[in-house]
Amino acid sequence: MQDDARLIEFIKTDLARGKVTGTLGFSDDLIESEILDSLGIMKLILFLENNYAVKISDDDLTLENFTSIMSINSLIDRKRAGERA
Amino acid sequence: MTMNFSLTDTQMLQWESIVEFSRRELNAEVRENDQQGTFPVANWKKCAEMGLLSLLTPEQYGGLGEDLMSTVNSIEALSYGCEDSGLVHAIITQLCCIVLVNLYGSEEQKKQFLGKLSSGEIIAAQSITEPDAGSDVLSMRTKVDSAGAAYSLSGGKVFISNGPLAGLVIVFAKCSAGKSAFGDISCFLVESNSAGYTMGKPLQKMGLRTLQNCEMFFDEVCVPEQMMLGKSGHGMFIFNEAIEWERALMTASHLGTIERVLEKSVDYVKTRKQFGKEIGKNQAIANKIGTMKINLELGKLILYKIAWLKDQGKRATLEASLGKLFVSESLKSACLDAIQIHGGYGYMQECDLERDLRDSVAATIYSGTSEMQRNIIARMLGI
Repeated sequence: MQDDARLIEFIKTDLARGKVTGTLGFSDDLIESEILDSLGIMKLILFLENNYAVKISDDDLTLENFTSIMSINSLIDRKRAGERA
Repeated sequence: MTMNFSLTDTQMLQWESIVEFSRRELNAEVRENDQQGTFPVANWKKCAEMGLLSLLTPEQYGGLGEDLMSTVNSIEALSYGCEDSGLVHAIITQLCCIVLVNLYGSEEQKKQFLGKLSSGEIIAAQSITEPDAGSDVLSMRTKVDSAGAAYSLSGGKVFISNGPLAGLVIVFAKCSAGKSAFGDISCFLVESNSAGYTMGKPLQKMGLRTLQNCEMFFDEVCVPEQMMLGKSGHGMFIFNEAIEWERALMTASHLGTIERVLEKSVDYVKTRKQFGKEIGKNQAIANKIGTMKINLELGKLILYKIAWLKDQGKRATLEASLGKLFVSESLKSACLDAIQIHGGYGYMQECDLERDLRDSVAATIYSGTSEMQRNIIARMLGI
């Protein structure tokens, strides 16, 4: 995905809210580190839908898809590829 | 995409017919029912016959298949015409349950329940709140364990609207201990005749007394696999969707009440005279009326935006919180001001405004308190 920086910035400023002081790694666990909570994940879905022109469906709502920046990137790439096909 | 808030001819006719129906059929014994805490079963059936329970049910399951814009228009009309806010609340609870079964239910579940819910034959309740888990849903303790081809449900819930009358309960329960972003919450359809399911006595409340609320207890209730609503672990998403619909529908009902209270107040200040002039000619009174009108019109704008978003298949988390907060607070203020405007008469039970005020207080508490709405709004703005 080309927009990693925007996603990382969103997670650090809008979701982590002070929980990340250093660098946020691509494979850092967003759930274990409590960066994502119940409202946070709704915000994240809204952010992805509005900024990456994808529709997150019920089938996409698995822990695996939102565990890390890497897994979110992978989800967006799959959604975009699926929507182009 | 352009937002168009103008009502169609059909929606305007629907508004008029629901107001006329409500005034004619639903207002006869509201004061007595409120005093005795009685649910008006006959009026519930009349509302079902009028189609008010089937607004959001797809046509293939016997409903009217309305969109949310038409539905909020109908609920506004109902609440404007019907003075029994407890009954309106019960209807909205039923509609929310219908939405959940329709959005997340299997074909079998839809066939089994949507028709009976839409006809009012079965009353439904959403069982979410617990003693230590209000807005903090992920802290719920009601748990579900896998038991072969079934689940075993154990725990307790409180304040459940429609609970004492419910034949079907949508129960949210945790699949495991601990918190995660997804909460590991699942959702189940539990029939009231299930072994191990019991409920407490109807709770005595300050207002909304015709609405029936109770505690619920689940003692190893066996729930067949096919009664899970939606996917395993998706309870939090189902809850988030449910709360958007609930906040939209509640906002619609509050606006209907504000319009009724406003109209009553305007009529009064035009006829009540003191010191040789109508009391509405006093700015202190006129300002209260002006504020009610401002809040009514602004509330309609945010409500129609929520409905428009949902009808486009979009999420409305922020807008639903904005609407719920603004309109529920406006309702409480409008009722208080209406009593002040009516003076001593407003304080008397026979004026009915004291009941509207008692009913309105809960509006800033249920479906997320005003304080929680402000937290959500702040979070949605990245604060």
